[in-house]
Amino acid sequence: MKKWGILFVALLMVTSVLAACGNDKSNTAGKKIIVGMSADFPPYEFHIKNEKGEDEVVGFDVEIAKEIAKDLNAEVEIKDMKFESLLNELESGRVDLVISGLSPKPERLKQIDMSKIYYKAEQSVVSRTADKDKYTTMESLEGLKIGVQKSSIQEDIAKEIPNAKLTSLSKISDIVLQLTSGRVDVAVLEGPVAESFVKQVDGITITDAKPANEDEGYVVGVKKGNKEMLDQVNTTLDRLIADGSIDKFVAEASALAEKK
Amino acid sequence: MELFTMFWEYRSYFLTGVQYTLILAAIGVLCGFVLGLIIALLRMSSWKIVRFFGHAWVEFLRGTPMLVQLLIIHYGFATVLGVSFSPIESGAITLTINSSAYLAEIFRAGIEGVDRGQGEAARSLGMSKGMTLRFIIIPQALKSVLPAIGNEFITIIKESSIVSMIGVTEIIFQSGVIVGITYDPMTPYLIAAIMYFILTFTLSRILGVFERKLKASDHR
Amino acid sequence: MITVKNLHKNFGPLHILKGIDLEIKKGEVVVVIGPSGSGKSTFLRCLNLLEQPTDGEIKFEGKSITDKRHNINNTREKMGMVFQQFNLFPHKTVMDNITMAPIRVKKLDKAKAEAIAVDLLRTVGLEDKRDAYPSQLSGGQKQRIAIARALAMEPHVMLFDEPTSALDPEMVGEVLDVMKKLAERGMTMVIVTHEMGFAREVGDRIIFMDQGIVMEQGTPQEVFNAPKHQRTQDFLSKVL
Repeated sequence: MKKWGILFVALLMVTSVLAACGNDKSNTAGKKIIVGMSADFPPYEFHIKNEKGEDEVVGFDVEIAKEIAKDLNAEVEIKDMKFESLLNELESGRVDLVISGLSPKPERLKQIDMSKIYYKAEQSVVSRTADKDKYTTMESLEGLKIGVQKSSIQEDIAKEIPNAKLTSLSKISDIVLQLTSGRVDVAVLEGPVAESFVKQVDGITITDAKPANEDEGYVVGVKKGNKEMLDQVNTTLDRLIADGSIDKFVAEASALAEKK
Repeated sequence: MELFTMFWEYRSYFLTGVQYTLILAAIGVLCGFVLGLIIALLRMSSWKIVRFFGHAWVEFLRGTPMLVQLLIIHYGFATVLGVSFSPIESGAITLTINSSAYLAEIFRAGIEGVDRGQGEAARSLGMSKGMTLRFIIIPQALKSVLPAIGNEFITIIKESSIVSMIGVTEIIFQSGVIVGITYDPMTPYLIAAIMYFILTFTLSRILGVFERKLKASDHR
Repeated sequence: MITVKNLHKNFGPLHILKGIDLEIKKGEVVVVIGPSGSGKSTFLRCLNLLEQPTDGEIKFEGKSITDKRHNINNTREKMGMVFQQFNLFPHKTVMDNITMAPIRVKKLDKAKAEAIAVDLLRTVGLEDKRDAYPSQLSGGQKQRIAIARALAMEPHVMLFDEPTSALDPEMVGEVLDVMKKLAERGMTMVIVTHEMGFAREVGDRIIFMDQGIVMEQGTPQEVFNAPKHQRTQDFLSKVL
């Protein structure tokens, strides 16, 4: 008797797994574009619970992904993962594109191909509200404990600060926690992302210290050598820049991020 | 946000998380059980090479962090061997092989704990080595290690949280998503801790019932 | 039936059996006695290769069983062994204990095996215990079941390794009675024991072992009443 019970439970488990796996590989008859994002970056990509009560990843980069897919007559599937894994996933082919506030760092070109820049952003230095007046210039950040996101351009900026002690974490929310709990003195965050967090979390603010903007912006990551996809992406981006959609998307996404 | 309100509001997220956690833990233990038994038998083989493989398997998997094993299977295999698993597959594989190493040790202890005379009696009746293992030694060994296996299940439920690293939507990952939505860095993880506790506590009670039933059937 | 030539057994640096030469004929009841450490149990366990001889040859029914190419499982089917600690299978009923080997090894069908088992249980006087578990039995009952289990394979020779040494005194008798019955039916038996009364009564040949060799052997009359060697006399004076 006991043997049958165990067998039954085992079968139940196996079928549930297969069902779960089946759901992961959704059965759309049409083409699918899988886009990798690190969805902790409002208003570019972030999670919300939509009106249907379901989890959804939305944001500025999501809208761009949808447009690219539309031009390819395909559906979009968003895969949320850690920022530092994104490029590996592109290389292994588990995602087709990376649209995740990705800056065109020269070293990244070794691993992947990149589209043209679709949005220029500024970086910010965020501190606790009480310290706002202490950190007004980049020089004032010397020797501080600084929180940044792993493998990001902000990490590179912070590395340039003399004697800074870096804490590099995977999630933006973890970095903000480090700041509010006093474990770091400041955090270097991307512009709109910083604004979004500052509005939602008490006790932090954007300082006047401004990291020099060296013509950074965001690009779409494509698997190395996939020229066809690269050209297609650039075509879509040209269209969106030309007809002002980019700015529209930014505004809509920011509003959405604030709604919470 | 208050614990209960948050839990209720995002209960669908947590439910997904629990499902994935339980499924992965179950696969890890069940498949790990079978694999662990095989490895334990390999370690008893008369061929030196087979024994060595079994030893190496157990030593490596017990001696390295499961996180490293997970990353090797998910990323290492993909970049170096071109073998690309989905996050769930990588998670299931890692939990299985990791669990198999610990279970192999448990089985070995159980098998060695069976009285020598049992094997001698079986062999003196003309039963082969394989027959003796199958009908006399292993059944008795399994009975004695059942509690240890139950403990392994409980351990794996907690250890499965590691697969959140590669994007499997189990309890910890889902908690992280909720943190992103609510900007509350603490409460989702507190709820996660409570959920893990409920799972492990319930399981250990169930195991306790089974153990008592087993003892009763020992006709002492 | 069994021929032992120059049997040596080492356990690491310890030289336990130092050259045994012996013959056991069909139908003989051979009783091996001697002080502890003399190697009696080791000798017995070499006969069915539970211990691997370091040197020497053992022949069973004309075939050499110490030959590397020999399939020992087949031989063991024809040799039954009864242990000091009984070694019944605790997770099986008495019936299963007895029928397991006939079914699995000799491939008998269940009904036939059970019929043999019932018959044997009757012989040892325990037919009402067929569905009991070993833990529910007394020591004497366990040993009698162990004897039935060994007999179920219809062996040509039965080996007994101090079968009553672990029993309370009041149960020794019931086991010895079963062994007497077996001897009367003509079973070839090799028995290691301290039960001198039994040896005298039932044995055809007594073998006295000491320090790894056969010191003296003969009929019970010869060995017990007129031992030739000093060591034999010393030993007997202590135990009789």
